[in-house]
Amino acid sequence: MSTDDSTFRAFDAYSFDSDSAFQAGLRSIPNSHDPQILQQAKAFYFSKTHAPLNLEEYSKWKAAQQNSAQSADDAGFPNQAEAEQRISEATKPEISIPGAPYSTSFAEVVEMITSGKEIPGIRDIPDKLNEQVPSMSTAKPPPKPWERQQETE
Amino acid sequence: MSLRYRSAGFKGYAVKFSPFSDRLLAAATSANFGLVGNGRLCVLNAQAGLDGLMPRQQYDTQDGLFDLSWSEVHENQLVTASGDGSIKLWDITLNGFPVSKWHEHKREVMSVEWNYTSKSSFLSSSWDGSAKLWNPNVPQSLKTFAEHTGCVYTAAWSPRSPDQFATCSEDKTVKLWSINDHNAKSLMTFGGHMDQVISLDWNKYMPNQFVTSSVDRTIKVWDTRNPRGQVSMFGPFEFSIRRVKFSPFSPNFIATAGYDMSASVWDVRNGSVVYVHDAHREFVFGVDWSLFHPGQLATCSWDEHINVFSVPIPQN
Repeated sequence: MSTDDSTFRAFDAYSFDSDSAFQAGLRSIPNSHDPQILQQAKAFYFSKTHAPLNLEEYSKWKAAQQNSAQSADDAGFPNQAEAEQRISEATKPEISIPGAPYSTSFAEVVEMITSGKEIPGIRDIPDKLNEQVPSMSTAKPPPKPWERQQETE
Repeated sequence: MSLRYRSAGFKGYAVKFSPFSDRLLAAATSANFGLVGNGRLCVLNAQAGLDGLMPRQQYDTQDGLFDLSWSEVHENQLVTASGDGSIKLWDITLNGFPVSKWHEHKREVMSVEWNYTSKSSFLSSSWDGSAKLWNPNVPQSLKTFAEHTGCVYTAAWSPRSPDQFATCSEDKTVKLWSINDHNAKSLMTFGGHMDQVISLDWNKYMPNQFVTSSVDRTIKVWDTRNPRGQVSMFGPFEFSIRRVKFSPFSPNFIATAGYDMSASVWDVRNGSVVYVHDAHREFVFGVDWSLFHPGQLATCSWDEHINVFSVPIPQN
């Protein structure tokens, strides 16, 4: 797959801060202040409004020196969602542990949120305080390493 | 050798060693990448030898957890920062529920830090743009510091002035504050990063110096006596650094964790990397130094693993 340098450069230079449509959309995304989520939102928006941008390929382009572990067969992704899924492939459990929540990919979670689907596995935890008596502190706080050095100076 | 613990189904956001015990640490984690769903506080014992990291306590919360801080006055207690804006105090000798909770922040709480000098209070910072000062025995916050115009990612106490702290923000600035300021106005504002400033920590041996990391993919070292510009800058790197932490044993080394899926130790005198921990397979969000074993580090990652390992670095 050829890397489209001009698209990557345009994406790099694009002023997302002054794009009111992007900013309005951003407000509907939970945790959009997280830099990586923000980056994915930008790539998604840029793909819709300007030119298809593959975030995975873009990241590779940015990290031109870095080696990719992927084979040539699956190096190109037709859309960003697949790229995201690829990014999160490593987070899937190696083995199935009974009772452990299935680790869905980042893209799946984003898709479920934006389409209003119910996210599986969310437990209701009562918002209450412990009725037991808290423990009493018996330990003296140890001096910090930098305080220890001061004492010996 | 690296010890590992798997926080199955929960992505690591922050990990902290206990200030009281060299065998105790805890991690703040979130299901579904912290986007939606539950949080989990994992308290771990670090065993000597091959037993590795053993779970000691586990607390589930309604919303994702983004940070934690151990109490500096009570060896069994710690506070957590939650995605729903709440802060909770936990006693690890008890099961199930927190012993105190506070809910004033209007958005995600991004950081909490106990005052490790005066030890009587702690700070929180939030996506609502404010930082707040708390006493664990008082039901309301003592003070609110609201000057930033975006998410406040980190609020960090000064190691030498128990009344001062610094904050870093989405608004690209860093601010220095005193809790004694009558109007809760900042003392100083540091500009220079080209994008959101997402992490900050103080040099424990050079009390005017602190380090920041930004979405502009650089690390900057600053001096509080010179708000007009940084002392030095490293980068830009290929990916942003999510967390920076100064060594408790040396003025010269910082640990970083980030979006390149690794954790690294740097010499801040020249920006050289002296160690890279590449055992994680996803973004690394948390890193902390042991206060007891020089060179020992803990990391946590979206790969659902908490790692503890030792770095062979010179201590001076």
